[in-house]
Amino acid sequence: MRLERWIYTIPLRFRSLFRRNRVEQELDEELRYHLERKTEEFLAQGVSPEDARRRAFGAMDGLELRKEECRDARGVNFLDTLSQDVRFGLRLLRKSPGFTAVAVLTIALGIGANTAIFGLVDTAFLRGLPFLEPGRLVHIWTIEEDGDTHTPTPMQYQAIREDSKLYEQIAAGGWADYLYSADSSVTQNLAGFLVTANWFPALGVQPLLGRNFREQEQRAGQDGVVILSYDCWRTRFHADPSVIGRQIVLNRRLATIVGVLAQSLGPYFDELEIFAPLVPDSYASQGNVRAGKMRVQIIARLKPGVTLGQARLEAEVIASRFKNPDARADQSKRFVVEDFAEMFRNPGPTRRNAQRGLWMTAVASGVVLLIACSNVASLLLARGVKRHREIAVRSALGCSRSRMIRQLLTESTLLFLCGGIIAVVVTRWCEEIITKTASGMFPGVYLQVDMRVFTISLAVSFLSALAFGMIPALQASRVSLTENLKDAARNAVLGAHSRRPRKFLVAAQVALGMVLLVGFGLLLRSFLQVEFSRLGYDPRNVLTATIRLPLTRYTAAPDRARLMRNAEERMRFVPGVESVGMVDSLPMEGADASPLKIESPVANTPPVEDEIWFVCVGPDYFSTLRVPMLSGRAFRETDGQGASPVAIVNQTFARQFFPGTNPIGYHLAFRDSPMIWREIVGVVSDFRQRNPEEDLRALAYFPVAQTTPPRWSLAIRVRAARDLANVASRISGLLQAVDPQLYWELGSMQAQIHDSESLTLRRPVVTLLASFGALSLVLVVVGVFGVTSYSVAERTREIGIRTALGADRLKIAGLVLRESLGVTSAGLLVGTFCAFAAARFLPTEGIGWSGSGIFLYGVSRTDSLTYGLAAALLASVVLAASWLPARRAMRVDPMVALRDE
Amino acid sequence: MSKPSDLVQGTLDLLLLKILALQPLNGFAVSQRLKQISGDVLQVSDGSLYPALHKLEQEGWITAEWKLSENNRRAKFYSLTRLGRRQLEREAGNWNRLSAAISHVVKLEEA
Repeated sequence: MRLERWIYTIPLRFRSLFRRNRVEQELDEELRYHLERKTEEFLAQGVSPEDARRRAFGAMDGLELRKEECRDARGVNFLDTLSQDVRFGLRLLRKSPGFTAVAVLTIALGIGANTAIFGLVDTAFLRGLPFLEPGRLVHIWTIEEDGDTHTPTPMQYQAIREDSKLYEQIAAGGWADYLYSADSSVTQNLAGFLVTANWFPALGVQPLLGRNFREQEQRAGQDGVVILSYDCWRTRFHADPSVIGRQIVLNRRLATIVGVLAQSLGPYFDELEIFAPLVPDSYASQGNVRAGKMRVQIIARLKPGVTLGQARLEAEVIASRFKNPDARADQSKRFVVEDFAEMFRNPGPTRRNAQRGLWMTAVASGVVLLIACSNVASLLLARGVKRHREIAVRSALGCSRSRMIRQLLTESTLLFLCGGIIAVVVTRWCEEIITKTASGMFPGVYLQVDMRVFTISLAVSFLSALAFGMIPALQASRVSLTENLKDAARNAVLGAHSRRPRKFLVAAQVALGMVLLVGFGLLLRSFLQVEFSRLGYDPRNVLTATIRLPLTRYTAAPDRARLMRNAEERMRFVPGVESVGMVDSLPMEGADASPLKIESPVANTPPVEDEIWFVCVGPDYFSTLRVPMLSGRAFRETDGQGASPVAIVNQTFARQFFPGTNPIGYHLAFRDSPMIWREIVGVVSDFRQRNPEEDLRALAYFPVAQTTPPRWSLAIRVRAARDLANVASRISGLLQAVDPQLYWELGSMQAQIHDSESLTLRRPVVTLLASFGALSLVLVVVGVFGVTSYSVAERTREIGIRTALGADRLKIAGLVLRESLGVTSAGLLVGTFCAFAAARFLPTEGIGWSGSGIFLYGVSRTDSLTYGLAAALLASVVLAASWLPARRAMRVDPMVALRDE
Repeated sequence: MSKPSDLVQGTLDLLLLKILALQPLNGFAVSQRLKQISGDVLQVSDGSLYPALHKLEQEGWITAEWKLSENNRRAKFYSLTRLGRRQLEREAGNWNRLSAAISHVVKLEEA
């Protein structure tokens, strides 16, 4: 049935499409035949020839309309109409280049902002894991004697590899740190990952350039090869395709770049910059393996069809066979097999904070798009008024309203699609700078304008065109024939009434601008509050050097203590250095937390136990940071190994655990055995250890010489800012003289704050919102200017009459300005309410234990300064934008104006 | 403005199919035949005739060819296809059912 129909209809459709002229000709001929016969019929009845023709035509009621109906019957006519409309639309747009340029640019700005943000959100959160069939990837952990989950040892990795039958690939990796200096002056610390040769194949990741590691590169001596992450290649090697084969110095060893990865490795591995082969035999000494755990992370790919349950069962069996290397057979030791993708479903706090920041900017970019769209809609409305005549004529000729609306919508769609394409192209050019702006939030964020982003942008343009082109199209096509064809009536008809929708749109733009500016203002004030908050220490003129010990040496605490003393001593005698303090975690780095037992100040009560942050510091640390001791003493040189164990607490600690008493003389201890009670010898003033916006927390300090951590920092206070460069240039040489095998990173306390998690999270959001705020101001200016100009042009006659009747020029300007001020104040009023409502969605707390994040800090949601400034800014911008049209109105020559028509 | 308000919706199609089932005709002849057989009761304007014919053609129910007309001029003649015949049967059946039902209702005696 269906098929039979096609036999008839398909050739007809093809004919209508491709033999259009022929079909049209036939239609004409058919109708002409009818008309001729009909005329003959009338003639036969004795009607005059002219009358007969007229009657024959009349019987058709609307020949052209009927033809159009016949064309519609063809089913493919819409394509025809479309191409007609597009051609007509393009012609019209070409005829008014000013309008077209403004509209297209406005749309491009709106769509561009959204393309950029969508691209960021997409790469950061929406795309799946960039691995081949991630469902088959598993993560293997062990559970050890202490009952905790650990990453396995290289030995356990070997066991699983040898015994397991269910996996296609079993790969291992381990975090490492690499020091890299591009030009021998600045050394950078790159996050590295040591991987087995089958690691990339296991994930199903192909390099963009070069190759994967080879099996033989997993042997000592042949492992001098690295693969760069895409980000590293782009930021540190300027995306230079010739890096393959180049030798670089990493940790003072030569390494050849053999590959560059194609894309991000997803949220889990995104911070990694450099990959090197893992050499099982010398793993511990490779690439400054982090935290000295000497363990590996195992990722394995299940064979097709193998379930997680089967893999778990097999892991049990392997674990039961596995003998502990030091012959202590342990029954409790187990392997845990986990779905790899599972880890990504619950993102960590940093990611969730960044996610929140990106959503904020996404909302802001949406607001920018709304402003841009209503802007263009108001311009289209104004233009529609100018075209009333044209539309009235067309409707008189029998053009139906729906046909007219379709044509007007085609025009606006053309505008929006042009804008959209320009937006995508420009966004593509700006990929680098946008990526750079946003990447602070977290490492995985980057912008890549690909087909996906392109399609979405064009879809958004198209939908906006339909949504925002509809109002002007409806308005313009609603034409009262008689009134509009009567010329004289024109000005009377197009009075205040037809300007109302435009005014509404301008007010909407102002309101949206207000919401955006208030949101930006509140977050900017929070950012400034954080940046300039009282930290409790003086970060100016303090350099930092963070030193890592080679893990295979300095295993004994006294050796470490000696090395630290040595480095500190040498530093102190550099000219220009005022004092040097040692610490294991600098401010803004946070600290380790441990359960501490704290002696109770109340007699005969047992010690309190609480999880407390602790920091290990050297004798001059507090004075170097200019943090005052409130009571007791600072640590001394003598508080070393063998001396009686001491501690210092901060003010919050004292207030919390010793309310009303002086904690000096009381004791506290770690929960280890044997328990060592440490005497509190001083109380230090509070200062921020993790981030500027956190609540003050109880902190305990221990002498660095009694704890000797494997990684510690020197805080070096320089006498004057002019000495900074000089001192900084001497630090490296000095440390090298202490031990040429040390690894270190240089910085400054101010850079530490600049790069703190709080500010790096907030900065991109504030920067992006600032640019959106600026964009929205530009758009409001364009919108107000355009609409006011149109309305002045429309009222030229009225203004001429007023002038002729003696209205002075200031009054005329007032007329124009009053109108836009009225609209603006309405917009501001509504905008203020909307901003209040929107501000309720701004969070006031960070996510996660670190306390940082993107939220309101030190500013209330109803901060009057922010609202006031935003309103004042918008009002002045609107006034400035309507000033030019107002001036034009003042200069209207009544004679010319009245002769206008 | 465009819909044939003078006929029950859809009946025009039925009429046209029926007329063309009797013999292939051109548009003008169809309009005359309509007037003739319905005795001027059914007023179909010339205007709505052609779109309706074109619609039937595009549906595949009638097919057109150019032939010489009775006064020796080229005209477009429409004739029923196999599909059209089936459609006619269906529509005629519908019509009979509908008209029977309606006349039944109309003839009801008031109680």
